[in-house]
Amino acid sequence: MYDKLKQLITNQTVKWFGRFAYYLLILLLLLFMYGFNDASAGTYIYNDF
Amino acid sequence: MTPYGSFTFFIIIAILLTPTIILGLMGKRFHTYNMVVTILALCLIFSSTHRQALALIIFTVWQVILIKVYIAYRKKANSTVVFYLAVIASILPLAVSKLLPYIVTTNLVGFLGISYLTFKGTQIVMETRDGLIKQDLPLHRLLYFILFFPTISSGPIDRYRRFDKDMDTEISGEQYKHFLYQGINKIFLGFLYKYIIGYAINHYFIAELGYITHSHFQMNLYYMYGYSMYLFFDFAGYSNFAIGVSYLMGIKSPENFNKPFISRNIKDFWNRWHITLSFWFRDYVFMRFVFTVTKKKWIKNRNVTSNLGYIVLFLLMGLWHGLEIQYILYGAYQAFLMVAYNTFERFNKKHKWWPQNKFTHVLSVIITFHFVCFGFYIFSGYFIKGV
Repeated sequence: MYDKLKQLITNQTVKWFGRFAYYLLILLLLLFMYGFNDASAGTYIYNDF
Repeated sequence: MTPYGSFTFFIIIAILLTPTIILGLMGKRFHTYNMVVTILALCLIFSSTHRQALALIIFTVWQVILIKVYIAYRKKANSTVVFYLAVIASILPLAVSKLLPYIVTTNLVGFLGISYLTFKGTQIVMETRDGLIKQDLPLHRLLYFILFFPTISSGPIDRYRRFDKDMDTEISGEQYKHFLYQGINKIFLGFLYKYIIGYAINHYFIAELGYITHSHFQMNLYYMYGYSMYLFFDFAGYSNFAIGVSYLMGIKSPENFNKPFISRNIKDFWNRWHITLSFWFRDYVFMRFVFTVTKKKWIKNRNVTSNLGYIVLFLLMGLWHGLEIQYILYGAYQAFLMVAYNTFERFNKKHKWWPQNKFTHVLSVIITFHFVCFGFYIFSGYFIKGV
């Protein structure tokens, strides 16, 4: 069972889909939060130093 | 335009770096083109503030002349006084820019990223003194290192010899694929940290504290943890963008964070938080202080020397953030934690009071986390300004 799971995780296609889903999720969240506006998430704290 | 501050910035950078990516995938050299991109990106960043652009140009000329003159001098002689004067001259613009706002209303010297450019310049002077940099540095490389745009506003603070090695490394198309993959991955992680998690913490938690909390104490407590998380996701998000874009340009800028909130103690924390800054202070302040004190035999006890080194390091780090009371207190607090931990570590080595097992490991992480968050609470200055 553990070996099968390990095989599945290390499978290149699964990895590719996982990565694709991760990037897509981030893009969708950005779209959900900011829409198509040129959003700014505010200045960076360490830019002041 | 603030680097990584808006989607427009990312779109422009993506367009500018498209030829870099194509050249990289073809296994061709792209650093000359990247230098042109750096100039264009700097124009974009400083286009809205001409005063800052002028300050940046004057600062760069100052640093380059200083470095060139010191390297030429170091080939012939090695006076300590000249070295100290070179370091002071290197730090002078930063010191003036930090002090000016307390004296006059317009800061003519400061510009975005002055601290990080100073760290780079001073580092070259220090390494020249140590004999690690012996040859004259080619002007275009020196300028490219100092002004490398992905890390210009807040680091990570790279080292010249490491950067120079990257410049000389031939990258094949296959190798560049890894650079590209890692770069994109870091940029997406940056979006997740800064634009999603950091934004959510700031807008839906910190800004709403007045409605969520029921007492002054509760508000301060929630703010302490909220701000700590916000600071991390904000700065780690920025660092991921900076490192990610560097990778796309074939430069492996050093990491700035390594899961800081699972640190076992405060020493471990400073090896994981703002790594390039803490290593800069470790190498060029702490080590030099300890070396000088030991060599001149000013203090015989090694523990006292290292504790004094920590106090000097963290007070300086606090002052570097600014002359405001919260930064000075933050530096003093970190110095206190470091000295206290150092003393405890020595005590524990002798008496084995704190055993090493899984339970104490988890407990150490929890304790360190709370001490660290309290440090960020001081750093935030919330206890002074309030909401």
